[in-house]
Amino acid sequence: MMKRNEPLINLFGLILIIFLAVFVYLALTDGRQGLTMLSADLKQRVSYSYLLKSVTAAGPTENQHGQAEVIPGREGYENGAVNIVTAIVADYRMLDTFGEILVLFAASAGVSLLMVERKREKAKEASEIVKTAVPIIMLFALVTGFYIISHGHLTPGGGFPGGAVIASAFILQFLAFQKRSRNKAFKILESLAGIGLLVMGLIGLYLEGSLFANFLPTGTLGATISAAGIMIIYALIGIKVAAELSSISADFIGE
Amino acid sequence: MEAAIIVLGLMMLAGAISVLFQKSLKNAIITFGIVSLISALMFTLMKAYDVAITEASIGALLTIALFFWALKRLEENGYDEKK
Amino acid sequence: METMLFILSAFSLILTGLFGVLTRKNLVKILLSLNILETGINLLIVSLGYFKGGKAPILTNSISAAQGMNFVDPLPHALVLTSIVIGLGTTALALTLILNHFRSHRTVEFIQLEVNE
Repeated sequence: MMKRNEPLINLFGLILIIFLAVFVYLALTDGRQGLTMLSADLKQRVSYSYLLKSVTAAGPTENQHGQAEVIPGREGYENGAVNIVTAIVADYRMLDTFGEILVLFAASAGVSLLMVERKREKAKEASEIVKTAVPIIMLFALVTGFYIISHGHLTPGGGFPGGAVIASAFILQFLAFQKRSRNKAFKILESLAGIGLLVMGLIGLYLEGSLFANFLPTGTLGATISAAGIMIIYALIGIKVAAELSSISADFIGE
Repeated sequence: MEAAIIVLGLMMLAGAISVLFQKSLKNAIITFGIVSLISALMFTLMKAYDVAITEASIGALLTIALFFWALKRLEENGYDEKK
Repeated sequence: METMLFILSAFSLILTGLFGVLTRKNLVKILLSLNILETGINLLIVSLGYFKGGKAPILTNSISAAQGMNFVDPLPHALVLTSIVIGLGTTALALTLILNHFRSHRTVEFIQLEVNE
């Protein structure tokens, strides 16, 4: 087998990168109508029907130009979320989110199966400052995480960053008080949340004919309790992501 | 506004290039954390607030923590950076 | 003009990450370059939906849809949300494999494995 020749490999990589950059530049500026993807009107994109909440039917209100309009404060839309990105992730393209949850589940199961054991004789104790401050910080982190999850349909956020914030509270507890981390409770919680998500999808399939359809009533657009389907789905996703990230961290810290 | 984008872009590029050519792994991981955090700032400048909060909490918090735990395990089993 | 600057900075990250994956020999550095590559791709996807003067896609009492139609495109935001979380899962599993590789071969650089006949 050949020995690794360091400068030659660097040079080869550099030539490949320069070639790729020149190719992309020629491809971007050589179109017939110029860079049309940069200046496309929003009316010609798919998000036009996502913004007007008229994927399956026309909206209930029309302004004087005869087009559908979405006004916060009215009822009767397809889903009741004011945050449009949440409406896309949790209602219109729920199948992609379901695939992402499957990928996270595979990563968590793989880490738990393949992890090496850690042998160290005695762990170092955390200092007094850390042991005193961690319960107070955990309280704030848990409240912030629950707020981000439960207001997913009104403000930016949702289930994924809220689950990460709750998992960071548990990580702080692992690091400060080195008790043996209980992995079983996290795995059971994660499985229950996953089963709940699948059951909601199957009920939607049974009642309305398509997987993960919205079958709960959507309330007023912009109220604190509205879009019941999206709230339940994001709560389940938040619990599942928090349990998975805590389980991965407990496996990495070890002992 | 455009001056801010140019300065942030140059900082990201400098950080990414210095991750490749660094000898010690600990410094490389910290510099990668800086690149991830500046990218979260650029997401905010693009008016993508959901993506910014997700990238800041998952990319710049949990990924860096995972790298540091793995590095600590490697050093316990005899991995030496100076060789 | 601003969209072009965003796309350029995203592309510079992509090229740097690709160079790192190709030419490094420490496994942890290859994983770091892979993460830089993924960050660059996420920046590129979100910046294709931005135009100057757009607003964040959240309906409020003063802005409703079809009134001013200058929201930024919300579809790339939804795709990138999925991509960031998948990147985290990939990194966690790859670090576990690196730890296993170190336990059996005593080195973190990738070596030529012998195949017994």
